[in-house]
Amino acid sequence: MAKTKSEDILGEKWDRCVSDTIVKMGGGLGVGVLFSVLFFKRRSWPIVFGLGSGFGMGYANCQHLFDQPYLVRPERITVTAKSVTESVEGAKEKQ
Amino acid sequence: MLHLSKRVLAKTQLSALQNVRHQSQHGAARKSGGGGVAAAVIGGTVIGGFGGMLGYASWSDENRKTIDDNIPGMQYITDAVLGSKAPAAAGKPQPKMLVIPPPTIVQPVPPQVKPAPPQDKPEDQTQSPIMKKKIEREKKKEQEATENVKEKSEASITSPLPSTPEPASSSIKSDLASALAASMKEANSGVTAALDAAEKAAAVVQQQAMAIILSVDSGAIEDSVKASVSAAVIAAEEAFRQAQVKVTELATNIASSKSSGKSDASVIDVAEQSISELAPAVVKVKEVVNNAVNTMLNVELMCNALKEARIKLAAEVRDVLPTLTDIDAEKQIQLLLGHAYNRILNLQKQIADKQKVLDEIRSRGSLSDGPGNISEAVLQSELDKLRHQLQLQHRSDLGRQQEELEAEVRGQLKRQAAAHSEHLSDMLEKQEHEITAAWQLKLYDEINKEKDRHFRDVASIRAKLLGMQAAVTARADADRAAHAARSLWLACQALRNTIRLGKEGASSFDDQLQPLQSHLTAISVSAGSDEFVQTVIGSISKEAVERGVCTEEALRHRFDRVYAVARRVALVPENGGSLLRYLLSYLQSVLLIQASASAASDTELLDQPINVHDLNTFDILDKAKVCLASDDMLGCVRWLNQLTGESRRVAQDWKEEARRTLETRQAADALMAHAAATTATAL
Repeated sequence: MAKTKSEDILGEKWDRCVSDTIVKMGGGLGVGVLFSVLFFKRRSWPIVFGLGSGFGMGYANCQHLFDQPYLVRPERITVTAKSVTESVEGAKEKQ
Repeated sequence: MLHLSKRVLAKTQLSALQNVRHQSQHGAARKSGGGGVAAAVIGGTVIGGFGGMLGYASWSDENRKTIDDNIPGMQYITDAVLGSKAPAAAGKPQPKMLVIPPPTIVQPVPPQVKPAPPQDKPEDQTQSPIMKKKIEREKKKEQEATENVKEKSEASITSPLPSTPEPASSSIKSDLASALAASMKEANSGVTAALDAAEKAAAVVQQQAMAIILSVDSGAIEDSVKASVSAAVIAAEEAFRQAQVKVTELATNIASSKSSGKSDASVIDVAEQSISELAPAVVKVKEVVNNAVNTMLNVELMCNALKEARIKLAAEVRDVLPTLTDIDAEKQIQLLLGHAYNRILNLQKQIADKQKVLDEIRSRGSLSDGPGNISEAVLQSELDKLRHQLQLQHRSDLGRQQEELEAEVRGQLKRQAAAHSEHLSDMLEKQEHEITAAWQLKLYDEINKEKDRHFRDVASIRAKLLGMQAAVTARADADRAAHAARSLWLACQALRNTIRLGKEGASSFDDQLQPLQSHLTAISVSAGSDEFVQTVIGSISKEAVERGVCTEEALRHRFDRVYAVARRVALVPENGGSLLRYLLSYLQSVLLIQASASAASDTELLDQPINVHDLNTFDILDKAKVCLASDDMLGCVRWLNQLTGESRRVAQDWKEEARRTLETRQAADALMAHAAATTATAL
């Protein structure tokens, strides 16, 4: 898979957001329907609540995707032994 | 002669008997004694001697003459016994004989030659009569001895038996008669045989003489011829001797019978008659033999004279012509004939002189002159002869001396010529040396001059050659450079084409990417160790080499999308923003009316400095789009470089691609320019 072009990155992000939101909303719908049928005597609000929750989750994820995506977070940096040795060797060579 | 033999034949038996009687009584005769025997011996000797003398006289006329001369009174006895001399010789019937006339050439043999010839045969001839005489004498002595013995025996037979009865004496008579007859017969046959042999010898001698005369050219008598002739002659002489012996025997028999007086007078007469017949025959045989011998001698003399003449001729010819050596046979014969002719003339002259002298002598003799004149004439002839000899000798001496002098003169001349030639050769050698030295010097000068000229020529040729070589090398280098430049140019062209068009027949722009590795390798190979080319090739990015660069077409196509997305996120800052901000930016981009793409501000047209901070994202994008539309990729990249925020992130990839393409194209252009420049210099 070729590297994604810079102009296509945003589009992909949008695709992911939408699909994620839909999945989440579907899940919320399903949970709401189940709750409405089982516990709340076929009331509509559990369904709406489920949908809302799903949408909200999706939105939050999207927001997370688009806002400050290029900041490198410390918990995402994984240090491996190989890289350490490489960096050490590189430092030695530079010296 | 035949009737004589017949007569004798009748008494053969008697003679044989008598012989037997003689032999048987021989022993008894020895025993008879003393005085009788001596008387018989003396009587026998006298009778034998007388008989022998007679026989000797009857042998030849010569012998007879000798006896007649030596013994006084013997002539009468010989005349009485052998008959008168002349009539007996004349009365003899001469046998028919072929007598060879002696060759005339033999007579004029020179006086100094004459003593030479009698060497082999002449000795025989001279000796043979003496020898014959000796032999005859010896034989006669023997005969006398035997006859004496016989007579003794007879005497001994007769003496002890004086009183022998008549029948006995008659038997003795018949014995004697028969002995006489037998001896007559033997003598007859011996004489006949001797005659035959003599004739044969004469024939042989004549034949050989003819042969020798015919083959006179060969020069000498062959030994075989000599041997055959001498054998024939000897045989004839032997036969003659035997015949003579027999005749003598007969004569003695007759004499003995006469002396004994016991035989018949008729028988003795017959015997004497036969002897008188046989004696001439014997003489004839002798003559024949002598003739043959003489002929042989003459022939030999002739041959010897010929040989002598030939030798003399050779000597004379040598005197006259000393250089003449090999004369062929024909010429030799001619010369010999000429010589003989001259000689004959000379000798004839001598003979004439002698004849004249003789005539003179005779005439003077008739005039009873003194012997002085005769001696004078003889002296004259002798002087002539001597003069001739001296002349000959003088001539030969002259010739010899001339030859010697000539040889000496020739030797002197030869020596002089040798000295002259030596001197000449010396001078020539000297001159040769001088001339050789002069010419050698000249030759060296010429050679040096030629060498210098040649070296000059060679130097100029070498310079030309070096120039040509340099030119050719330069030309070859230029050609090579041109070739390299052309190939470099072609490779650069191929690179540029690839950069411009990408992979042909590709389905998408991504597939159009083609690695530049192969083209760059070709360029570096064709450029060789060109530093510039190597540097430029090294400056091309790794991405471009391994993956390839996007074409302008692809970049243009991609720019549209970049442009749209960049417009949508124009409001979003660099580190993103909330969803709402994205939403607002999108709305702005949708609601914003796009200005004319070709619109360019005055400042841009005037090429004045622009404050980039005054420009918003849309302005920048528009300007970039304008630049791209006007085929200014570099300007487009420059404008896009001014973008900020999310838009910058969006345009980042495109910008990199465009920059890569641009730098690759720049490198290709540089290579292209270099190739063109190289080609131009090469051409």
